[in-house]
Amino acid sequence: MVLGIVIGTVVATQKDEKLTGGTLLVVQELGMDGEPKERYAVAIDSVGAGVGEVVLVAHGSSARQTTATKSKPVDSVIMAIVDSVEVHGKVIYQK
Amino acid sequence: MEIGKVIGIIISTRKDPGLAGTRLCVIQPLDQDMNPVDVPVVAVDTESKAGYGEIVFTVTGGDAAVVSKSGAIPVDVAIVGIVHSIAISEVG
Repeated sequence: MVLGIVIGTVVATQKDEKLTGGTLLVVQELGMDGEPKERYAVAIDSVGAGVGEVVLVAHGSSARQTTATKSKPVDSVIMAIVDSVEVHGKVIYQK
Repeated sequence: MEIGKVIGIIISTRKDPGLAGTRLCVIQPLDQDMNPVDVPVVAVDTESKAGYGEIVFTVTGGDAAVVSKSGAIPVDVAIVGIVHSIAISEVG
């Protein structure tokens, strides 16, 4: 999984019918130093994340293993909202 | 499967129900000489057995989703073993 911050929402009226009702969010990847990277993903939200929250994103076929994404055409899912990150004994993020 | 070192811990209370009781670790991938390669990733430790600083091996992609005994979970990196020793022989 990768660490990311939710920076926006995506609205699409014309989409695959299986995606109806799902929330699409734009996530910017964060490094393990807490700094944003120039990498972005559109991910389905399965845990009720909002803009500004630090989250974990699972990519690939694993993204289909939530109740919100089961058997849907999805390759990125937000599957956790992060409370804190500690790396090398140093807290790099605290909610 | 890849070798890595546990360099951090992530705490999350709001997560997919399938991840309840598991631990989320920050893993630094290592090469055969135990030098860091690539950027750190977040892996699930379903048994919550890998400690800070430990050398582990991980699976990535869809294979990681089947690591839990209680069914498929939405993870793309999973710890599947803790390394006690590695022996690399010179061949040829």
